[in-house]
Amino acid sequence: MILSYPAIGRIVTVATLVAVTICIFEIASAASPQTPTAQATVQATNIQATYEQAIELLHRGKSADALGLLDAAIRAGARDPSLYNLKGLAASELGRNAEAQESFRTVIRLSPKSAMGYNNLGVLLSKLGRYQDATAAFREAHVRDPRNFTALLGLGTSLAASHNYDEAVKYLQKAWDVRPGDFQTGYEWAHALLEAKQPAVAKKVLNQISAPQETDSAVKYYSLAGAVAESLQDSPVASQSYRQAYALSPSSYEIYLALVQSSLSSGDAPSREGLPAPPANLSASQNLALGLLLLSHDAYQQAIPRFEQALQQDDSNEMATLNLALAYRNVGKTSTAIDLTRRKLDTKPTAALYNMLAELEEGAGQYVDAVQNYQTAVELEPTNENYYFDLGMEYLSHFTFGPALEVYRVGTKKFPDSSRQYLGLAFSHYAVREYKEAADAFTKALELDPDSPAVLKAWNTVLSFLAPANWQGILPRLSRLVAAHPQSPDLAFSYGAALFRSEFAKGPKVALDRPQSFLGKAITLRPNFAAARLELGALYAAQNQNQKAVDEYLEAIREDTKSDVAHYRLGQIYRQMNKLDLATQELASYQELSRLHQEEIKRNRSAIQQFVLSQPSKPSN
Amino acid sequence: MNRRQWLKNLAAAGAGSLLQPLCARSFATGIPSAYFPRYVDVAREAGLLAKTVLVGHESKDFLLSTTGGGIALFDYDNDGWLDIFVVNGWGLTEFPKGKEPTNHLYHNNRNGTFTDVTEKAGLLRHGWGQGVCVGDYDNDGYLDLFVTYFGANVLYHNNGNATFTDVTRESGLLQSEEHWNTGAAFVDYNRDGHLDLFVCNYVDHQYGLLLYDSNPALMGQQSPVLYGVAGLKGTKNLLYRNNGNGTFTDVSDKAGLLKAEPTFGFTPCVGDYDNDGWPDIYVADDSTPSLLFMNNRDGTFRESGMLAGVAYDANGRTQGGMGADSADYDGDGLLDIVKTNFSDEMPSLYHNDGKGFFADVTVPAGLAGETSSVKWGTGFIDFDDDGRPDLMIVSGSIYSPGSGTHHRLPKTDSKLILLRNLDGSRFVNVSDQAGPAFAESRCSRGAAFGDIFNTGRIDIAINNLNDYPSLLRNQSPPTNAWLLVKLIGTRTNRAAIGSRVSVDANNHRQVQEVRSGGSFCSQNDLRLHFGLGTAKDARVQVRWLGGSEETFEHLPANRLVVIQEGKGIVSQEAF
Repeated sequence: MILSYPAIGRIVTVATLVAVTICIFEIASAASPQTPTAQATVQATNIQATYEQAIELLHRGKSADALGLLDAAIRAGARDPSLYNLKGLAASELGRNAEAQESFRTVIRLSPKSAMGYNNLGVLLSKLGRYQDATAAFREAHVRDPRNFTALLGLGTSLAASHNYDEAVKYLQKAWDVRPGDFQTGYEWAHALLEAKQPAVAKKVLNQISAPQETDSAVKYYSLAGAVAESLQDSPVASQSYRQAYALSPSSYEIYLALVQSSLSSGDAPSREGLPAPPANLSASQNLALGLLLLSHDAYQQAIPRFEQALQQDDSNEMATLNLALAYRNVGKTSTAIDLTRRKLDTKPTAALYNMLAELEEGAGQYVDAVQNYQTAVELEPTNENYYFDLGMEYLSHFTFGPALEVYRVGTKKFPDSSRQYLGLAFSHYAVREYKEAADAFTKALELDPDSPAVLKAWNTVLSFLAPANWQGILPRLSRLVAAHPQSPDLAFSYGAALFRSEFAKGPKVALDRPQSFLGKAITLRPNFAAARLELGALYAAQNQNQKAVDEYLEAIREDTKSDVAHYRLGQIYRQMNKLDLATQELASYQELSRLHQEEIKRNRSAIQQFVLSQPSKPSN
Repeated sequence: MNRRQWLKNLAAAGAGSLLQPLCARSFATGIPSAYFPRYVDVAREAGLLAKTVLVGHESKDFLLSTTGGGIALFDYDNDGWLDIFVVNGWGLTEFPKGKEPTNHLYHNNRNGTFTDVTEKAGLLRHGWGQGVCVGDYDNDGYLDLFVTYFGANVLYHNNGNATFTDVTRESGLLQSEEHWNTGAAFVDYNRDGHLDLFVCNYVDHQYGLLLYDSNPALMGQQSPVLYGVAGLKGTKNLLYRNNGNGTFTDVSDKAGLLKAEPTFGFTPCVGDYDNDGWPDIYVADDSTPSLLFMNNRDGTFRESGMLAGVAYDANGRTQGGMGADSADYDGDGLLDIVKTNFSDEMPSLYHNDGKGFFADVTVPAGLAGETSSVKWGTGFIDFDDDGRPDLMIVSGSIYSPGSGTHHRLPKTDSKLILLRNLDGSRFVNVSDQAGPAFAESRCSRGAAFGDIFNTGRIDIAINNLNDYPSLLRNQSPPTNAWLLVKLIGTRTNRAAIGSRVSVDANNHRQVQEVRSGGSFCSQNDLRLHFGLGTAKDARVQVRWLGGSEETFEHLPANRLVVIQEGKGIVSQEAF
């Protein structure tokens, strides 16, 4: 059992760590002032000077001065788009975004056929997180200049930021065509491809660029490579990539989590055991989350220090205590786990701790202590359905049926919507041979949770023990379930099988059309439904339709090669058909499968230990 | 319009849903033409006053304390009346001197009472008795007694003067090692006219005293527990050939019995299952495949239970087989088999399809509901003499009342079960209408069937654990005719065991064989009882095991007919 911790959420993949890249503003080729006319030569000379001076100031980081210069020129009547473009850049640098936006819109008005104004407006809007507006601006730029790199890259990036990955991929690919080998383009393209669920293509794109020298970009590159490999289920490569990213960014908790996840998933010992040390100064919640991740991959030894550290940081963290106890138990330190749990119980007795203590004691063979602690958990938190269920299961697993029955009687009253409480009740009735009651409880569990594989499997045990006279109470309920869930092969099978058992018990010559139709429906809905094939085979055999029975049994064997029952029935049918060689062959298969089945039963039985509870001492007279 | 037609018409008229309840009620309330027996337990009044004892340790239960309980009906003094032999158990406790449990032989006083003649007959013996069978192994005209033990078996020679002598050692049947012997049967497997002996064994001897269930004194502590026999060491069956000189030789290996896998054997049921004139042996096994040893007619057997379809249930699952009987319940001239099984399991009804192959017809025959308690002794008996063998089963939980610790038994547990054969294909439970004895809950094991009071009706003797035996007397007067046939062999073994009698009456044929052993580790009346319905007489055909056949036309009903091989009818007695 691994206790969940809601704070951890999904392990953070690197893809979610990477912020949307903002395109740089355009000032180069389209930035020069417009070619002056003869009448405006003097003014143009001033504009050019102003432009160059403003550029200089911007390069020196003096955006406010540049903005003042540009404003003065504009107030003096200059209407050149390049000046407005620079004004937008300066205003943007100063965080005066509204002013910047207005400037870029003026550029667009003054030079409506140019892509520059739209591109820079798009970049600004992207910076502001207004990706849809940015996309619209970049589209305008792209219309005006279809091979404009900034427009293509911006369009692809903003579309990706809007989660429109399929369209983003198209524009990023075009940007790559315009500027092949560009790292940012390749990175964004690969990222969009990954999100568009094309990790194999993303991997090819990544292979065309290499990690840059600059650390942050290199971290991004390796992280994305790790995410792509993970998506391709290539855990060793993912682990290696994250390892490189973590080496460059050793304080990143998120990258370390991704590294641990991929390393543990890779399954090979070096990856699992050679994990680098985690980042220093992790918080208690980070230690806990990391421990849970390690625990979920059975890396108990590595999980222990994380939980221990989490407990040192927060002594009251029950989740850390519970999972540390589990980790101890799983490395064979059950007594340490029990000591830890008892120590914590001394300071803060909770139902969860008692339940854990009981589970540990059960594993240690201290059954009587275990059942008492399961009981205490129930008493401390009577509203928790899990504790009732665990207590009842403890009794059942030790063949202590009377108390189990009582627990589930109470459990079903307290939690009337819990199918598993009814399952527990059903098994308890079954154990004390109260079959009618068991069938009723099994059916109730089915009614509460008709889709649960566990419930369906449990319900099917009814078929093996219910006496014909007791089917009458069950069949109408099954009929209602089938009507309410017409597409459920399991329910069609359950009803069909129940009808068959019920009808066949009435005599050798009864009509079996209805059960046949439901069993046939189950097979139609799920053609590889081995149990339904087997049951239908039995139905045909009951009607002496031997060849049809053979066909169904063969199908059942094809779908479930370990079905000893199918081999046995097939052998018997072959014998009835006087095909003795085939019969002998099938019965030999049956014997071998049956032998394996019996050995398994013996192993399970030898593990059964029974206990009985202490009764209060009688007062002495 | 008979009842069946009436019901059919009702169904056709759209009242199909009423059909099943009506069927049940027609028997429940009793239609004037329907006969119901009235079985009353008269054991105490009749003088069956010794309890069968199976005592575990004061605070522990053992596997051995759950088995045993054979019982035999046989006429040991040839006075024409069935006497009763009850196998007793033992205990892990100190019994007062002179009060030790012993087997009991009850002499039939011919007036409804019995006298305990155990000591006088030389049959006092203490030990973990299990089963019993009867046969005249030396062909001297007196039925001998074979008793199986957890330990070593005993062969008692009938001295012909109402006493017995333990001849186990002289006969070569003394077992050098202790065994957990269970059911047994005399069978002339090689048809040489001398009865051989087949003995089942249960679990390996070492497990008999193994702790079986938790100990109530261990409350608050943990205790190991053993459930069932799965995983324990199984055993093989034994076959002793009669050398014709009062001695036997173990031919288990030579006859091919040891080729079968070890099982947990309980009861043999001998019969000619493939109609070839040679006796075959079916063995009901607990938690392991039941075995069918088919006679190769050359002194050897081949085990073919699985292929024959009688080793498992219809799904190939092993069952807790306990007892067995065979009869031709559907009148096709072939011996069918019933096997009793553990609680929660149906009894098994195997229909003989011919050639020694069977089909499991338990469910369509109406036996699927009989899952309560553990079922032991069984027999096909025609209680209503309509010519269709009905079915009787006795049951008993693992523990007798008051013992055992963790078994909450439903109120319906451990009751007798009587099933009426409706039409040769369906049985219906009529236990509730079969008399007060069927309302009682006992921990029964062996059951023996026979006309104990020479009334023309089948009575039943039952061995109950830690309890008095039951003696069920059918007090309801018969409404149909019957015939009781006793065979005496000359070339065939003297008790005619293995010989077959076919009776034709009212255009209906019945087949029975004289059988040693069966039910559950028990012995039925060697005389064969046939219900004749409304017929006034019957045609009787005898196929002697020695090979000859004799036919007798128009034998009048309602009498005992004694037929001797080669001499025909040597006596008749109307009851």
